Amino acid sequence: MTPGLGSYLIVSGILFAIGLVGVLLRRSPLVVLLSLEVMLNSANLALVGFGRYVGGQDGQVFALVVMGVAAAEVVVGLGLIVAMERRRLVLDTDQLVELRG
Amino acid sequence: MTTPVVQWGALAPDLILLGGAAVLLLVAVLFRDRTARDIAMLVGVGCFVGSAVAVTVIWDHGDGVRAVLDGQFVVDRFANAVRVIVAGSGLLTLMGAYGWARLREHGPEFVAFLLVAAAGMDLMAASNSFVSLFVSLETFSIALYALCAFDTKSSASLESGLKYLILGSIGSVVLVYGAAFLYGATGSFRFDEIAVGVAAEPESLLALAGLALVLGGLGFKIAVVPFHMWTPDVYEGAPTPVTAFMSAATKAAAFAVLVRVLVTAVPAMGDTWKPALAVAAIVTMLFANVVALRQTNVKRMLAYSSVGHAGYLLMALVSGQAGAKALLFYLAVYAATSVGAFTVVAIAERETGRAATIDSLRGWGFSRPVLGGALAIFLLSLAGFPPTAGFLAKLYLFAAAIDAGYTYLALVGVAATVISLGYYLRVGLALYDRRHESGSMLPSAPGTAWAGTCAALAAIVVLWLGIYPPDVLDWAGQAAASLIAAP
Repeated sequence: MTPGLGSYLIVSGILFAIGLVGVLLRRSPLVVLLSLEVMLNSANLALVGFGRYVGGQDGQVFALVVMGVAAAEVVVGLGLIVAMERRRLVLDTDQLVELRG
Repeated sequence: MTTPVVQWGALAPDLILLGGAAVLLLVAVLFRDRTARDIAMLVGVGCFVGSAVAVTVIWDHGDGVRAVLDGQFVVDRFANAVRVIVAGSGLLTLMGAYGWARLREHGPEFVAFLLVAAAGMDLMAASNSFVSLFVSLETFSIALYALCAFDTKSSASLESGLKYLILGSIGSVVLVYGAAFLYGATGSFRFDEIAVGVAAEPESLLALAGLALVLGGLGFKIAVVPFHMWTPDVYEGAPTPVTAFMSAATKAAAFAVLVRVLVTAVPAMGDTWKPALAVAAIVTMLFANVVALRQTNVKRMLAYSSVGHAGYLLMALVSGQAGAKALLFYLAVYAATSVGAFTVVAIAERETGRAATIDSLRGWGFSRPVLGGALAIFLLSLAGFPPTAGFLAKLYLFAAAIDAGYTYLALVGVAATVISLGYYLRVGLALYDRRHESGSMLPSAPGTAWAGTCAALAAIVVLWLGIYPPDVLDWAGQAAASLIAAP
């Protein structure tokens, strides 16, 4: 039996929730970036699932585009983390309170 | 399978900006220090002026509506109007930033990021599908993340960049998720095709979920309550020239694309999104203006003020074509005001060497007549006093809301404006506080002359639009008409 659209969406929703919880609760900026990737990939899974359901190639193409953009975003994110490391800032998002949130 | 035709002419205003950025990356390698900065400034100013000139050349093409790149973009007068606003903000930002010490080391990189961000904003205002919308949104967002963290010697700047990156990315993911749902409901990412699918089945739960997520994702970018929490931190921590550009141009581009999505993709669901946006407008206007009252840091105060202005602008989204016209006029006025205000704040910071607070600005207007006077004009315009343009902009916005049957929104808007007087006037009064008038002048910071020119230009624009608005109103009207007429 092949899984239907519903199954893809459920898995995608679970991944999205895991990613969101990670972004909100984890302290290391590296893990936060990782969680963001999980969220983006959950959106990709939804895109591909809907692509199969609708029956065109647009969904898959958009998913590829999202992957490319996500890579660029992570590059900037990692660059920032390296710059903070150089300045010997503590890599703990809870202690990034110079700007009161 | 046919190869899509590229309409170079319609894309010229954006390609000029991207080309300039590519050139500047070479300049960064070939030249050093001040030479590099001066070349970068020239190239940057040239690109922004060139982009605006290119817009005036293509303004009248084919009644303004042109499908570009196989329908991924629509270059109509609406998109062109936003391009002019973005180019103008970029130009003023460059002039204001000239004396910033960091540019002596990394001038070309700064201008290149600015040009890429501007090109991304232009393309976003013209996008006609969620794929092009997402790519152009990320183009300018990633450039802005880097710009926010540009002052790598300041931990506040790095922190602001990382915060913006994390929260901005959550917004992007939500947007992609929403696009996926709308795709599932209608089978397309193109706005015009989504409109057909949504009109056939306006009650579809899938489309409704998609729309809610798309609005949430774009809500992050325009900083609407409750998606505004990044704004004060990022605006405060980012280098002030970057804040100036971000507040003016991002708002213009993000509101433009939001209008386009609502008007061309989901008009059939108007009964659903109009009440939702009206509630968001009320909450945003009241919350942001009340919180701004408590701020003593001027940048933070202006950040909350920017959230408040996003609330006023939400009002335009529910008011149809008159709303779109008022929106463009408001965005043009806000861009000049905001870039000008942040530029003056940047100079004040540079002179005193610390963050600008209400206390540090006391009596400052006496020692810097041009900058102080310009800041006073900007504050009056933000607060909506005649004869500044802020007054007319608010007037048209409220009038459009009343004509569309949203009298209560206009009333809340007036109430929020009255609240906002509290903090705008507090800064204005501190600026001209007789008790702190000091005979001794602080030595002027480098680049003050250019920043003064920038502030004076912006102040002239604000007064000009406030006293003689018909030209720009006519221009906004044409642009709004081309959006509504789009297929």
